[in-house]
Amino acid sequence: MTEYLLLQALNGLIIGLIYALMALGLTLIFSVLKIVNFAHGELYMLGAYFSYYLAKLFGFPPVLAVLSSMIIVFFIGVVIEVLFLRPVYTGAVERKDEYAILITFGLSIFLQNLALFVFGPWTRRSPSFMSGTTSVYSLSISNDRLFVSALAVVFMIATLVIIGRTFMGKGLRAVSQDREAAAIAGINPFKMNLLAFGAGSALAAAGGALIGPIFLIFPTMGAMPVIKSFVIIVLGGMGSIKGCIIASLILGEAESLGSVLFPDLTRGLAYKNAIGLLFLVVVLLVKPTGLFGEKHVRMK
Amino acid sequence: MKKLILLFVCCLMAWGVTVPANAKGIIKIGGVGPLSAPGSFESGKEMKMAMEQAIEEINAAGGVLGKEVALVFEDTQGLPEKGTAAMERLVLKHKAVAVVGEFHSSVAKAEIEVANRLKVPLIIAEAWADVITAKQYKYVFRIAPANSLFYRKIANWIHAAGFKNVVMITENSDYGIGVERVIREQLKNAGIKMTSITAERTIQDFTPQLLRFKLATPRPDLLFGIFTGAGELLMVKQAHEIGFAPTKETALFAVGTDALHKEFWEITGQSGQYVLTKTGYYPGIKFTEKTDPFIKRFKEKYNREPTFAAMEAYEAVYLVAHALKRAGSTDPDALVAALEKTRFTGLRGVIRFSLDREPAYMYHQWPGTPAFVIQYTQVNQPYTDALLLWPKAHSNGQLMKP
Amino acid sequence: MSLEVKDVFAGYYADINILQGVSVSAEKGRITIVIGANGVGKSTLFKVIYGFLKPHSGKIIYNDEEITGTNPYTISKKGISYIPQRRNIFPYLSVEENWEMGAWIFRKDKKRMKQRIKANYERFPTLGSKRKTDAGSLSGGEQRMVEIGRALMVDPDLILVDEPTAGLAPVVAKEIYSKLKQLNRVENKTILLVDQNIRQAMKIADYIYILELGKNKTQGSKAAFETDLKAMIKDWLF
Repeated sequence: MTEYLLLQALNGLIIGLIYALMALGLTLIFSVLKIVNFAHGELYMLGAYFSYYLAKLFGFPPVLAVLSSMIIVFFIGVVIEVLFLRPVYTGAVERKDEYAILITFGLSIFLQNLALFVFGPWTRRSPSFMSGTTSVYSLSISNDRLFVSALAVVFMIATLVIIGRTFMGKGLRAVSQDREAAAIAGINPFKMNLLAFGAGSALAAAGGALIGPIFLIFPTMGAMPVIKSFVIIVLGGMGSIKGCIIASLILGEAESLGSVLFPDLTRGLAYKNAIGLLFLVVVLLVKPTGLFGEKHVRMK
Repeated sequence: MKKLILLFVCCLMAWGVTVPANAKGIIKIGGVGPLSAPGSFESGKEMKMAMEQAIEEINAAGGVLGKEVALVFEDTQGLPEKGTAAMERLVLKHKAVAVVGEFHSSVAKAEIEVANRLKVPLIIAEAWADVITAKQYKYVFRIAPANSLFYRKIANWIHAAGFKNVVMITENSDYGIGVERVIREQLKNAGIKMTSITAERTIQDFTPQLLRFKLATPRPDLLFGIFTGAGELLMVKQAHEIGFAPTKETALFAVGTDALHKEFWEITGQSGQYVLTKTGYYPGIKFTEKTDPFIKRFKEKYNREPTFAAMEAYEAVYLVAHALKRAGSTDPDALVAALEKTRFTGLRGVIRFSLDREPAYMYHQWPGTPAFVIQYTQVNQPYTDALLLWPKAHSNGQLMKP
Repeated sequence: MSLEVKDVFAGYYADINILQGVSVSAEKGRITIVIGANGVGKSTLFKVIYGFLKPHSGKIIYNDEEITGTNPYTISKKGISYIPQRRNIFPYLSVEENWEMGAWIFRKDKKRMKQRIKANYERFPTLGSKRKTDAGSLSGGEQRMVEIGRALMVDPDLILVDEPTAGLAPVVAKEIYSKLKQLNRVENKTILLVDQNIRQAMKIADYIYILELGKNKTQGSKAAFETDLKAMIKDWLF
């Protein structure tokens, strides 16, 4: 039983890492642009499909396919920002928040149906990063999962370094913390919006591309993860990068362990998605701004 | 000038909208099924393909009652309210003389209410819940099996194959719960030990529960997965990854139709070998003279092997055309009377509709719908080459273990 | 002449002008102050100069170049810095990172950046021990110093300062004014200051403008005002 729980905890960690990638992207967009991107799950889906087709049709090695897919989705994000979100910042729309919600929500439905039309309804699976399984005593875990979590950690650390240490990253944080002051300092906020939306999209794409061989690819694959990401950024405290990562890992573990420690074993899986939400409700009752959040959404 | 163009455009639009509805030379048959999320759009798409093939063939052979037939297909998205709306649109707006299709039981349950209210014949092609025919509506027919009818046969196989300790993972939909109930009752009657768990349709990671099953003592000898869509494929893949099933100790039965699609292999790869599944069609058994030509044409047209869902959709369109011919009109009551007297050679036998009211689900149900248990013995095997285990009379091999 | 604001009409809505023909100029090397009652449009004036608000009519000219309606993020390249009234440090960046952001327009030139930061520590020695501290956790006066330091990163010729001591304790306020004076006298920065703290501002001013209801009321050198300052303030403002 101990061995089983340990393995289950490891599984939760892996899932949590994937959640973290996606939620990091959402946090980045949310804290710089101050809008909730409802189409985030579809960027995740696009990342998965691009990576799949690059590997299948052009014979890209899996890791290269993931990276290329991230670059493609980065530019898709840039185009989306320019075409649809720019009006929020040029004062072309009156009700900024409502506009952003509607436009990204519409985009989400559009992209889902576009994918259904272009890629077809059949479920796909990306080639394995590393086939086979690794056994720990009598329990085994697929190499894909191990490989994917390692890559997720690499992407996550890269993101943290870029945001925390580089000049560009500090610029992003500056815009997030005070748009006007950043403009006075000479930082072009429009460029930072582009960068944040592109990078956030690329992170979502990374999540999707990495999950491709594990949880399969289909037009609606982003619907559930995006909800999880919302839960995570609220749980972690909006705008907090540290909170985002910690909340991802907590959610991964809560779901993974919660569904096996659930009193009625036969219903454990059925309540899996509810466990995370329950956790969120409890945290928000105690601390309404989330684990590491503050009243104002600023990236930190 | 601007106004003139506007007028012209308006006329064009009005013309475009009204002409098909007024056309005297067309009989419309409605099609329903999921083409987008949250429905199982891969199956809906396949059914639509088969329906279009049937329509083409019927028109090539001169149509019905001297008119062309046309398919108007509505996407029901796996959502009951969309099913209701689709039925109403098909009947009231498009004036469809009959409607065929549907994949999700929950949606079919909504659709039969509309069929009954608007008095239009509805042939359910691929929704299995007992209740669909058990309501005994005059206008509702079904060529898909009823869960009880079909899974009783599958449960018989579980018993005959000698399994002693079965675990089930079921999606919490009308379909899943319905199947689970039939199997559970049958296994209970046979005295077979059984654990059953339910899960959300959208679940992606079955590993926790599969691990638990693997570590249970005594270890289960059969995992029976009642899932459709990506969930089914993930379950197969993950059961194999953790070394639970299919293994020497534990067999794996994946019930959903996705196990028959060619994408099954892309996704499961090695894990798919030795997986058991069910089908309503198996080649090599001489059903009717129509079977092989249909499959040949379907493959030519769509470059994929049709599953029995496609066959049912195809047959359903033909049943309507056939009934129209015999009724000599599009009057719904005449159509129902004609359908009740159907003796139509389909792809898998002669289709007729039972008028028995006991058991309840038999009313307007095709009782002859076949049920096969098959097993993949090799990776990348088309299901038509898989080992046929059940029914015993047709079986061509023994259950294989890794 | 360094900066000239010529006959500016501006407001936040198309048909309402808060500034109704204001003209102000800041002469090179001087501290020019603009005073007036609350809501007279002093902060609006700065928003117009710095490009946050497009004037409905009028011109902004800097060193003989018209800069009316230039983006805020390109204005700093012209050698103008702006310290708005409200707190505008980056609270979750350290003191030093805040200053680095002030060097955004020459971020490739690390050597220059280092020099400018070093100069800031010399100007504000108390911040030397807090270089890694989040700016958000500093005291109000220290935050102001961080802001002034950030504005100085580009080595501007002209600094726009909007009520620098609002909400600060008198002792701290005094220090800020002495810093501003030092910037002008020692580093020869041109300063345009908008203020409510008239007494303190007058002390460092060279030239004074008084606005009333969005219009110029009067103006003159400090000497002209000093004679009966008290009476005039009473008369004009209250």
